[in-house]
Amino acid sequence: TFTAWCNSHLRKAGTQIENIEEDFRDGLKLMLLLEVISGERLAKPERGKMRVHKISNVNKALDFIASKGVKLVSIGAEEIVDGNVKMTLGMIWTIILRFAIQDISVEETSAKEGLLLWCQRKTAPYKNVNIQNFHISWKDGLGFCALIHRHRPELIDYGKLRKDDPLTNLNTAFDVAEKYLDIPKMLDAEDIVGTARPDEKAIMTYVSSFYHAFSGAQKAETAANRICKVLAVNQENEQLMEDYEKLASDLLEWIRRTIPWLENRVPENTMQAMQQKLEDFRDYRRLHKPPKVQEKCQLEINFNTLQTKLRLSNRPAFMPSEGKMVSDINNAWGGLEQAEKGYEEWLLNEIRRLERLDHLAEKFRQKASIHESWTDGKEAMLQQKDYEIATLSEIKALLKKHEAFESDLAAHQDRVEQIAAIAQELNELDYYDSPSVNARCQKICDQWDNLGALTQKRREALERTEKLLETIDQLYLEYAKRAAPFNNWMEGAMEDLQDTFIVHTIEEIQGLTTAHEQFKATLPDADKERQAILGIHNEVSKIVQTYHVNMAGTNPYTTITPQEINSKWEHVRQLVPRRDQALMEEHARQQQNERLRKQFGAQANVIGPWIQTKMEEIGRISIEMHGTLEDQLNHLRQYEKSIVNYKPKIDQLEGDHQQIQEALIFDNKHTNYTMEHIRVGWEQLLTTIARTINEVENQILTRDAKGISQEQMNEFRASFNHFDRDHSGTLGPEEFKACLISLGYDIGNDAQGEAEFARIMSIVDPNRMGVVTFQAFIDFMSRETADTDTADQVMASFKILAGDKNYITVDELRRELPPDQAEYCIARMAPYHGHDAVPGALDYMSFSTALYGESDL
Amino acid sequence: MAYSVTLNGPGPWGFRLQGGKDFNMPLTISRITPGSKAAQSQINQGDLVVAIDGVNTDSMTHLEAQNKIKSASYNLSLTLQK
Repeated sequence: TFTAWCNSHLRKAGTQIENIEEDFRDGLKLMLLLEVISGERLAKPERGKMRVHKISNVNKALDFIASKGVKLVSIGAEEIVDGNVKMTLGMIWTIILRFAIQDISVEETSAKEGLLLWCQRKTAPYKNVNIQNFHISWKDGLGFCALIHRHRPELIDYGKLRKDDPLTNLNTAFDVAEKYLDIPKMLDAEDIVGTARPDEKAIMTYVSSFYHAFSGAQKAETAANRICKVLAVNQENEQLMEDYEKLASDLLEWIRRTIPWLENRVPENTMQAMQQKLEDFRDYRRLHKPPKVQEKCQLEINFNTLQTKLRLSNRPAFMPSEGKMVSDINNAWGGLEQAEKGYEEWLLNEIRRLERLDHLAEKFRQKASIHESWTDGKEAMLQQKDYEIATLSEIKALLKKHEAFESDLAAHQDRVEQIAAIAQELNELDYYDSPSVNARCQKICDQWDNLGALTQKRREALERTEKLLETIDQLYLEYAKRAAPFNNWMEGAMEDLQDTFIVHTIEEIQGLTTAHEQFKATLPDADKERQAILGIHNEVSKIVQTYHVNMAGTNPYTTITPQEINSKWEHVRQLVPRRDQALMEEHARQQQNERLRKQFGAQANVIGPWIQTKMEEIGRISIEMHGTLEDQLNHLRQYEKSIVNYKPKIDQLEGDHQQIQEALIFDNKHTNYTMEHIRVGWEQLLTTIARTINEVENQILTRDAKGISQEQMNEFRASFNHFDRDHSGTLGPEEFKACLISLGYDIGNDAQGEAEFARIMSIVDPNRMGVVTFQAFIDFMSRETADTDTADQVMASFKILAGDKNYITVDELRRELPPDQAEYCIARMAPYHGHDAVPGALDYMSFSTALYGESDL
Repeated sequence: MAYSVTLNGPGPWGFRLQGGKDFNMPLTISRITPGSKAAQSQINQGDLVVAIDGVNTDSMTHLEAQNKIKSASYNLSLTLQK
């Protein structure tokens, strides 16, 4: 076992031992062994073969061992040189322990424990292996297989192993270990199986070989790993460098591409385009740049990592290629960000500008449109020739409208200026469509100027026309003002000239004639006026012709045409002589009338007084009491005759009067007597004379009937005349009363007296005329004095006819009286109801009394 | 003032009636016979006769009035006015 172990190590030095007791006696192989297993060089061995050299070498080896902290108790060089087996084996075991096992430290445990731990660790996954010690645990051989399998699974098919076949297992393990792991067979399989408790040290030694093999392998692995790692690191680094370079160049390329884009300050025309740019920028900022930021970051990180790695792995620092240095990248990046900022700012500015431009452009468009729609048609309107056919009031209206338009225009001036200002601003702000804006603005301005010019022209035309029309109007007015009164005058004149006049006096006709003459005197002036008026009209016509102004309108102030004036004038002129004629005729007529008047007057003045005189005379006769009533009567009859004789005179007057009336003469200053006066007077005269005669005749009758003497009559007359204070031929009630009193009637001022007077009045004035005639007076007087009851007389007469009866019969009446009177009585007489009444008896007594209006009941 | 009088019959009553429509004079008592029935009543000379037996005398002739009075049943009713 130990030999195998030594050989496994010495093989590395290219040597072997065959006999452990002998081969180490010279100490050379010992020293080699130590060198191999420690990895350190010992001192140069002595090359001599002499004992002393051998001892010296062994001592060197022992010293070395001791220097490693191994206490070699009672092991000296001589023993070794002498070939003390026990000592040599002990020394070898110590070496093994120290170098193979001792420095096995697994987690600060000691060599043996560490090795055990290591075994346990490595075999932990193998359920059928349980290493607790370095003897029995290994008997089934699975431990060894597990160890091998753990490290080099391809060497053993572990699944095929069986616990109950320890020999196979052990041999398999030993074979494999020798063949593939360079671990000599140190143990014997049968030996182990046969022994109840295998040798702990031997197993420990063999197991430690495994440990060293695997850890060696591990070392190799580790070394390979390290190399791999280093190489990998190298590769990695190279990759990183490459990556860096690539990334850097990509990034730089990207920056290089991007910066121009960011530096592009070519503005777009529309807001949309700019906004699109902004959006692109936003995308850039949100989508494109962040990865790049990340990239840069990554680059930085990579760079740092790379540098760190290089530094850590003791490599030289990474130096990027030209232009890809960190500083370059940073610079580039800085440039990018600079450009960005500038770009964003620029974008926003541009957008603001575009916004403003858009706004302005829109404003411009709007204002221009509004303005254009306002101006639309205005030029046409201004060029109208409507004023050529307008009347004065229409012109005035047009002028007012125009005035309004002018102020509207002035108001719009502002607007035009605004439009121009906006256009200007658009230009200054470099609007992309400035040309069209300018063109439109120019059009507007040109049109504006044109409007101004047209407005002015129109104003002038309107004013000019107005003036003309006003002049015409003035003339019209003048014409009207004069034509109207003139027309009036003419019409008045015509009226006057045709005026049928009614004149009744020569003075009147003379007045008319004089007026007419005066009128004739005014004619020349009137004619002048007429001509003046016509002159005005002609002036108007001239103006119209000269200026071609509208003459469709007639004179608004008057309907009197010149033709009318002229015709009327002619008419007037014709009427004048006719009037002369008429006046003359009338004058003659008036003269004739005057003659008639005079005639009548003369006559009337004679007749009137004559009638008056006669009336008075007749009145006097009746009042006076010269001579007898017969005398008076005769006198009166004479008067009557003379009056009758006078009738022709009246007739003649009537004839004159008729003429006068036919001549329609209504007044006559030559006499105060009208025909009616005369007539009335005449009739009165006739009446009076008749009445007076009648009165006298009645008086005669009365006198005869009542037997009143002439003296009595005279007395009555005298009294009556005395009380007839107003000589009216009648008495008023008071006069009558006084008269009665004077004649002895007792009429007091009491009720009795009043009643009596009333009674008397009712008798003398039955018709209630209010006056008492002389006849009535006499009747009354005679009745009272005569004391005769005429009713009784009648009754007495009826009694005689009735044969003294108190009633009368129809037959008797018819027999005695004329038929008319008989029927009259029969009709009116009431039936008689006395005690001696017979059928058909009539009461004549009450009838008689009733005749006189008096009945005694 | 109008007043009514009833004279107890039989007649004669003792007053003279004057007037009538045919004379154009109002019907008046022109005389009272002293000691007569009329004299014993309120009737005075000069009184106007307004109605006879309740019938208005405005339209009566003298004869009609006379007959009316005469045809009165036993007593005579008169409406008079002073």
